[in-house]
Amino acid sequence: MNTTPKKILIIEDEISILNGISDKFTHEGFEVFKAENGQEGLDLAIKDHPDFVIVDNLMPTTDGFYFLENLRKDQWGKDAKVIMWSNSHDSNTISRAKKLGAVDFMIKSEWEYRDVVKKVREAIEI
Amino acid sequence: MKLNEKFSYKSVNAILIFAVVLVFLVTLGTCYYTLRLIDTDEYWEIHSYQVSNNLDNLISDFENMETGQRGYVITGQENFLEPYTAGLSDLSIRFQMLQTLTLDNSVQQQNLSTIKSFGDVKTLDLNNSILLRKNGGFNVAQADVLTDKGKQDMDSIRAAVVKMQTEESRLLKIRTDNLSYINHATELIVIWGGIIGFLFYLLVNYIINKFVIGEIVTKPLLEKEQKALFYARSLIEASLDPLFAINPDGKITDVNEATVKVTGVSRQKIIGTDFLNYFTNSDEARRGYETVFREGFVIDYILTIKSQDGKLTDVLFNASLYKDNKGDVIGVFAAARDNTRIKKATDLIELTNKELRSLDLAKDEFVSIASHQLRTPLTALKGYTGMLLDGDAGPISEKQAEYLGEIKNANDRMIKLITSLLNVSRVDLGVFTVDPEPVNFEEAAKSVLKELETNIKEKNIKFDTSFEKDIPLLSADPKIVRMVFQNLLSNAVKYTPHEGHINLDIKKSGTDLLISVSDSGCGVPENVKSKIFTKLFRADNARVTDPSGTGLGLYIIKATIEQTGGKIWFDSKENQGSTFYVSIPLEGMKKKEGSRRLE
Repeated sequence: MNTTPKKILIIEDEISILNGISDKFTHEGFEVFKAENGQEGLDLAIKDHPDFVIVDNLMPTTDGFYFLENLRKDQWGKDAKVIMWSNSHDSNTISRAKKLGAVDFMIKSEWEYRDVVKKVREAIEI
Repeated sequence: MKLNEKFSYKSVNAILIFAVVLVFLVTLGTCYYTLRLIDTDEYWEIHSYQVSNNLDNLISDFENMETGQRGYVITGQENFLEPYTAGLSDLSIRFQMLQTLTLDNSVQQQNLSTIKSFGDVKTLDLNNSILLRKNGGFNVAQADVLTDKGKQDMDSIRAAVVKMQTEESRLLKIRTDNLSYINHATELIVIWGGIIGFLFYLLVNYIINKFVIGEIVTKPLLEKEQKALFYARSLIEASLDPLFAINPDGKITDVNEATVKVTGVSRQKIIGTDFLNYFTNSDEARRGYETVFREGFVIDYILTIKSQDGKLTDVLFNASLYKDNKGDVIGVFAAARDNTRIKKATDLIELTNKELRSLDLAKDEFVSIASHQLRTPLTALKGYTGMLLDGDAGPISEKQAEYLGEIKNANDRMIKLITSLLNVSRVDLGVFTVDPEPVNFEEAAKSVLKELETNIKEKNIKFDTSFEKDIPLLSADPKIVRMVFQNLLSNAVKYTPHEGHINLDIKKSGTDLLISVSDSGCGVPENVKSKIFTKLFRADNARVTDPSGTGLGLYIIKATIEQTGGKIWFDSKENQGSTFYVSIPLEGMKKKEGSRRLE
């Protein structure tokens, strides 16, 4: 295993979920950055260049699409690996996320945290 | 002239022809009669000539006889008697002919009798002188001749013949005159018969036209036409729908009272004006009647009539071309049905529908938000339970692991129920999207089977699969395909006992792809077979076997499959097993636009 921990940014407005999934990634050896809305997440992403980003869709003030659209405008952020997850989506949400280069769109309640970690590892080819 | 109305035109025509034929027959008969007269007169004319010729020849016969007698008296030679002998022979024939020719005329018979008596005397004298020469010699005979008796006899004969010829000439003149008269009369009859016949034809024709047809045909026809016109007009005026007749220039040529009412313009004023003038949208009105001229008709063409005082009437036009008796188009006949009430009702229905659709969308929105809100704490619960079970917070005892496992299962059921309710809402409201893309059904089935692998192994189920080779990629929504396999296969695993068996078969069947999942499970009781696809229904034996089911899975996939052009059905025997079939057209699922995806 690589000695340098992989950096993951988790953007989630629901604190219990944010803390839970963050703990899981920390436990799995990731360096975790946490944000509670799109703008916070965008600032952290551009500043710290995480290896992977998990971003919630529905958040107050600035949502997941705000984050993703603005991330893609950044020189580094245009190729950053991102999974969007949510507990609600309509038919346009998935295609919109895919168009903005999201690796996947996940329904939060259907995933065990360990499977999320597994999916991220596959995505960043650890 | 009052004639029987039943007297048909054919009868009149027959009378006309009969009358003309009669005139010509009379003319022909008259001509025939005069020709017969001519024929008779010609006969009598020839007859007169024959009498006259025979009288001339009679004189010649006597003269020949006299010549012969004189030759013999002078010469005493027998050969000089030949003219005498020939004349005597001819004389008898001549008298016989004249006798026959004059049988019809007593005067001429009498004249002929006189001639004959003189002739007999003459013949006797000639014969005496010949006998005297023969027996007494020349001198005796000469003395007899010199008595001049022969000349006296001949003069008597000539006088009698002249008298008879005079009488015959008189008769000939009468007959010639008569023949000439008849010829002239015949000419007149032919000419005047033709003229009179033709005039009579004209006269009869005129009379029939003026009196017979005028009375019998023309007059009743005019009355009938008037009645027909009145009847047609009455129908037009009786119509409560405004009616318009429009010529090819778009000018109004006729309207009824309903049109006058709806436009507020009198009939006299409206006729001759532009049809377009009476509608809120004149371009649409023009397009309407142009369509009729182009295509022959319009049905339920929507326009709004604007009356003079500004009142608007929504109408539906039915219009078509009308033609003259030669089939040439005269114009457009348009009937407008007042659509105001229907339009109001339709508008109300549309408004209600819109509100209902809005309510549906609000309901879907509510369900979506509610499911999101419900899922959020369940997601946290799922995450933390998972981490505890994974030992992320330190080692846990077996009992703790068991309890946490129960929490996890209950939580998963809750999440599943929420997802199912969300899908039911989307299926019921028809807002779900079907977004087909090429799908490998074998791979989709295997992917689901992999997820069920643990359960299959736990129950030691014998699982057989049969995938027909060369099944093409089918255009289908992968989410729906996965949902179908998940539902059918997980049901089969759930309801099949330990050591049971399940068979999954995918093959082509006609124009469909046929998926069948057979199990040796608890089966569907006969009395609930009709309810198996209804919402929230669960058979008692299914509840016993798997208390955690929602009763929504089959309902959702049936509605989804059927809305994408497929079918679902099953065969089952309680306690023996079930086979569920799903058919999807090989041409693929129908694309469906919607606001939500199924989850």
